[in-house]
Amino acid sequence: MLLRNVLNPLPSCRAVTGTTVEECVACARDAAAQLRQGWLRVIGAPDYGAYLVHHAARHPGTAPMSERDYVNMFIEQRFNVRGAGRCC
Amino acid sequence: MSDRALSNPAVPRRIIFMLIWAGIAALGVFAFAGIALNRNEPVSAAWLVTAAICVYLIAYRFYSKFIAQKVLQLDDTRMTPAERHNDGLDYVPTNRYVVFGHHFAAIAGAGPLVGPVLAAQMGYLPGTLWILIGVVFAGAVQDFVILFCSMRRDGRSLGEMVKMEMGPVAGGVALVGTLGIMIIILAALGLVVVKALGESPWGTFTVAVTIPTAMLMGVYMRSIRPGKVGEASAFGVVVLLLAIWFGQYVAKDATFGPAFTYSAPALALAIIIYGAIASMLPVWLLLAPRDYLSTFLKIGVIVALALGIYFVQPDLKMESVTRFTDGSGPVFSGPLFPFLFITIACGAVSGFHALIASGTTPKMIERESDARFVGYGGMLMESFVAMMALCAACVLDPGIYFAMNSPAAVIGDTPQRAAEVISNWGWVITPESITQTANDVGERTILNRAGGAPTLAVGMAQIMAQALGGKALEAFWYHFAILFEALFILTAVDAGTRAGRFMIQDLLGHVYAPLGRTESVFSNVVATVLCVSAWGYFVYQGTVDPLGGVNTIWPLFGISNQMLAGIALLLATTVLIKLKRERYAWVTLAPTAWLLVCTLTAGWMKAFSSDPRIGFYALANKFSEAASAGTVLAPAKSIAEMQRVAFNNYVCGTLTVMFVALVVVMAYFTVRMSLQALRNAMPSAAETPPESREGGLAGAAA
Repeated sequence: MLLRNVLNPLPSCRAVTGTTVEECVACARDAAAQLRQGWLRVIGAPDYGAYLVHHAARHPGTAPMSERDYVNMFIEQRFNVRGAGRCC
Repeated sequence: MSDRALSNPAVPRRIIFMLIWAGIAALGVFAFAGIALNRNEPVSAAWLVTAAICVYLIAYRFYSKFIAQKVLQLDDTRMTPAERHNDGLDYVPTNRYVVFGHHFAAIAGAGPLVGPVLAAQMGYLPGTLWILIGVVFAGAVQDFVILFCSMRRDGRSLGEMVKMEMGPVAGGVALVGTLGIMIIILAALGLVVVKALGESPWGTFTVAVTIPTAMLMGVYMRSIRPGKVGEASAFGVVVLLLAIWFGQYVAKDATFGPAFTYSAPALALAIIIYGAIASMLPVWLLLAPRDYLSTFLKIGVIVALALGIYFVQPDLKMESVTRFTDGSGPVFSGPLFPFLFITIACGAVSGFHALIASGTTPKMIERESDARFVGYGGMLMESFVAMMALCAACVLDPGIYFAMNSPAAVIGDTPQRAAEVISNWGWVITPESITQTANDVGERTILNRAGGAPTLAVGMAQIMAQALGGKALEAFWYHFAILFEALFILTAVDAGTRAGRFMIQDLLGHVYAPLGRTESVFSNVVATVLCVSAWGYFVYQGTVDPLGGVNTIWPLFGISNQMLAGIALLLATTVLIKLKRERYAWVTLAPTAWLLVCTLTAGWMKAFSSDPRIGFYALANKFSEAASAGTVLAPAKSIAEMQRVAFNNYVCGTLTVMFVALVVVMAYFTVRMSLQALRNAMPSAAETPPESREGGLAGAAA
């Protein structure tokens, strides 16, 4: 239940019956990617892949930042802000 | 599978749910009965944890649902700030389990580990009850409601919200209050580290290693493999584990051992200099990598401790209620009411969370209803950490517990004297077992290590060693626990000094505009030095003042933290009334009232009690009068030390009075705004106008 909520929506997991080995591998790879992305968010780490997806959806036709620029900007934004990021 | 079974008309869904919840309630009652009725046999810590989990489940299922649906009326058709401002950086709609993890990692620090350990001197029952009742009706409610308020205001911070809803004067008062609490928190956390590392070459070495390790990680993540946090952190964790292992040889080494052995005052100066430099370095070099490292370790250790308690099922050796509820305890003085309620802040209710719940978290929420899980649920999780800390302190032999947490002024500084005093209190202990415990964890002494971290570390080491590695690994686990706490305390010192710097710049900017420029190096240096000297003063004095230390600063921390919680809940109450939901205002008003009663009573007693063990001014007067009469009072050794004690206590007393005044002013503004809003026929809260999500998504999530 919980796992399904976390992993939802996973397109390749929709078909439960009649899956091939390739589909299973793809599904597992999707799941691993989702878990990895979730973990990066939990610890507040930059996620360039997610940024590229966001950029393509929101700002089509413009060039995205390079990975280096994105990471630098992300860390600067996250830690060099007014609000304290961490509690006692 | 479950959907089909539950919708089977032969077994109505409702009945199944009722049975499940009745079962959980019965288990909770059974666990509490086991704790309360067991008079002669020791109680297993697993019962305490079980009782807590049942309380959390029931509170989450029923009370938080009531708050979500009736009081706050969360609306999933409304767009959240994350969707509205989605920028791929700060504002990102995020899966609620992920937001939960992120929020939890941000709120849970050293606070829930220290408070319960100190409060264990009154027995495990008072602490347990306050942690559980406090979190359900105050702490989790505060986090949830503030998260809601910020979410409805584009993710604005607590200070900005106070300004919006209660006016600019109240906003300014809240800013000063926040700065005050920040400084006291940094001082308390700094002291915890200093107390843990004093005369401990093993601990000092491992903590020192974290600094270059984090810097290497920082360079790796910036220049070698940009943003590869996982790889850098894996490297960091391995280096730290090796450092703990090699630390024992460093400590024994003839050259390196003394090189890493420092007295507490020297370490205090070191952490002050460290704070000043670290907070001016670029964030990618030290702060960010160590934050990732400490988050990894934090989550790992909390899971390991929970598993350890369930597998080992250690017995609680502390009594359920000790005689120190009368206020004569050595760890902190003052009676159960109000001092228990300010000693345990994080874990029951923590004002600082209001800053986090109005920081990055509201900008990640995907659906309004997620705020219940993240805000209320996240705080329940922190409360669970506090319960485990309480367990770890109470599974220790009480004699050892008091040896570690009593000030030298009370139990002396030799095992013989300490054993004698503590045995007289009724907890029989021999000098040998005190020395043996120190040897087991690889330390020269465990006496006078107030501050929670070492006590928790010994408790954890004993639990973990029973689960894994036995006696041989106890010292390793002890230093692992110390390192783990020091790691996120140093991060907090660094991040907190930065936050304090911004606040000081905000305030100074009103006086002299150039000092408010955050990009000016001059202004940065001035504000950083001011901030570091403020908290550094308390850390340093805590190590040289014979009567000072964690025992003095922690009540001040508790008062300021609960004061901030009071301010946050007052804001929440104002917002509810402005939304014309005054019939539900009791949800925030009741915890507000309790917090105000506790904070104001404790503040008043700490400042003006005529008992010099409690009242700052009474102690200051006693020492300053004796000093002018030329008599030296123990434990001070000279007139100069006497004057220092007097001065420090005047400072602490004045700060306490300031905190009390802040709370009173905020309460006045709340009453004024609430009366205005009650007269107003229309809702007047300054929420961002609702915007509906397009298409069929409206109301889909639940």
